[in-house]
Amino acid sequence: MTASELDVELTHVSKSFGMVRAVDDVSFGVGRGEFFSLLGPSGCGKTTIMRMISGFEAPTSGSLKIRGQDVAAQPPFRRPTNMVFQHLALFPHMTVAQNIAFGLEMERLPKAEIGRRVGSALELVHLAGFDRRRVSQLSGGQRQRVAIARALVKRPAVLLLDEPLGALDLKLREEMQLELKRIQREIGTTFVYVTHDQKEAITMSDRIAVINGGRIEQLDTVSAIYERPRTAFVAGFIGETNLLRGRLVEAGGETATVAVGEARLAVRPEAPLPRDTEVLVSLRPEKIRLGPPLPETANRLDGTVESIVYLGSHTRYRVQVPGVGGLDVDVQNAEPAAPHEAGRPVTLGWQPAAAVVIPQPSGRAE
Amino acid sequence: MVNALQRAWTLLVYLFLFAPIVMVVIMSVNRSRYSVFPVPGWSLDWYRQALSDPSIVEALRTSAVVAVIASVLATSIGTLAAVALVRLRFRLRKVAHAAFMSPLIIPEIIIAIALLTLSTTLDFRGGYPIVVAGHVLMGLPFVITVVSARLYGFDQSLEEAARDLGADEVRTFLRVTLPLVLPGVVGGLLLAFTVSFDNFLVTFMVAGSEIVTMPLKIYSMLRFEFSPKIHAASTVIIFITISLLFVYRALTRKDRYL
Repeated sequence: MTASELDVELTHVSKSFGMVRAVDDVSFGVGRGEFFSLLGPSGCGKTTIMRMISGFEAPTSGSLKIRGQDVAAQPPFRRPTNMVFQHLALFPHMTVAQNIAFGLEMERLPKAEIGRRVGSALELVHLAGFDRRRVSQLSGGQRQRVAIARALVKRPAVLLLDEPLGALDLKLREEMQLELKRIQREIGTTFVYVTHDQKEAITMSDRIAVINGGRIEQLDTVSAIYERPRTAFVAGFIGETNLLRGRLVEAGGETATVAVGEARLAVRPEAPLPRDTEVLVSLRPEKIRLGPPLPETANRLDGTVESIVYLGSHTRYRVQVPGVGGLDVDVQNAEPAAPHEAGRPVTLGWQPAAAVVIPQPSGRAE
Repeated sequence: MVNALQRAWTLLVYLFLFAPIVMVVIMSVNRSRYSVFPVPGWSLDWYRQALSDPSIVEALRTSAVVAVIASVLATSIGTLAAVALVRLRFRLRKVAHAAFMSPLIIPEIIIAIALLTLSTTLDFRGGYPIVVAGHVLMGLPFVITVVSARLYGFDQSLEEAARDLGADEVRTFLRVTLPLVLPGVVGGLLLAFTVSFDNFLVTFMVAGSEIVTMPLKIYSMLRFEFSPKIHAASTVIIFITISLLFVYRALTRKDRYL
């Protein structure tokens, strides 16, 4: 991706509020037409990054470009970005159409063109015919759509979305996620989405930047973030995982061996690691096979079922493995199979490639 | 039982609050020259007399003119001051706030004397400007309080949204902030109007001889020639004040969105 195709480009951007460093040396680029998510726990700095892109906060240091132009000196109302606010911030004293027209009136466009564009924006978000409604007469999902239309009608280079779905109930939220994705595909605008909800980020994004403590932990495609987390934080924050602390006892070739307690696990590190490296092995619950081991499974552990939680599509087993600890294992409920019982001995098995090896910098806990 | 007691108590409180006012209204339609009870008979004669007395009509007009100018000025200054006090973080913000509020706390007689002293020192005595200035001063704390309350209950992301959509500070204020705090602004305007219309002490001190507002007129009538015309004139003032309350209610009734 060349620099000219980047709609947003942050280079060594930091932001301090007094003594607090909210954003710490962050660099990334968002390509044209990309759905890019900033994902992290609350207080991680993701909203601050977004507010810097929109112009409501100024970086303490570093440079920020939108479509190749340095925007440091531009106030929010001059930037080619528009934002969907966390609480939507629809103007309560205006109708739906007036809300959407507001940004175009600020550009002093002719009345006819404003009317035309408001109409097509309403169509885009499937709210045709709602133009005369007051905001207070709309449901949560409809307000959401108005907020999106109001921002998109300006044809911004970048649409910024600050956890806009937080207030909706689960069903509606899932519906709006697909809807947002549809709109984004339809108009091809670059979306930068801020969320703390990993499922939301996974559902919609092309790429995700996982933010923690003001820094980017990992920036990758959705599947890479899930399948090949590079830090323990990412492994734990995206999806669920078993983290086993161990030490590399045998290196060489594609596979290596990690000692976890008394167990020896075959793993396949991304890059060759020297012996005696302290590592975390991240093993997703759904990648472990529970039951009679297949002949080719390289890793086998014997344990005892401690607890069973039925979760509809799958069942979660907590298995205690002597010398290793408790492991969560998910088993698909493909058929009403005979469930394993608590207290029964079971065998766990998985392939070396199923686990991810995360080297631990010495002296750094977790 | 408790209910009946509560009702009786409430009634008593209202009686205490409003009996004097009701007395004025009753006496204004009393045929007799003397305020006696029971009223010997009814008549609108005092109104006719009051409203045909050119000095009373002139005083009413003066009061209205002063109150309109003072309340519009106080509302404009007070609204902008409230925006600054609530939205901006500047040094001496609290001092500025206290200064604006001081007419509520400092005894009015002191403010009146201070104004008089100031106007004498500047050789700026009598006339509308100094009266209006005094009334603006008295009205400001009310405007600022009412508008500030509105601004505090205001979702600031609405202003950010306006700026994000291309509105500069001025247009954000005119298109978003002002319409949303308008009920507060109107309330402040009406309060400032009544404060000005009612004001006696400050006016008395600084007005000089040529400006006679309604309260000054009533006072001088009390001193020189007691007549039930005073009751009639007072009732007119009461009526104007109550009407303003209804105007305010009517104007803010459409306020569905906050």
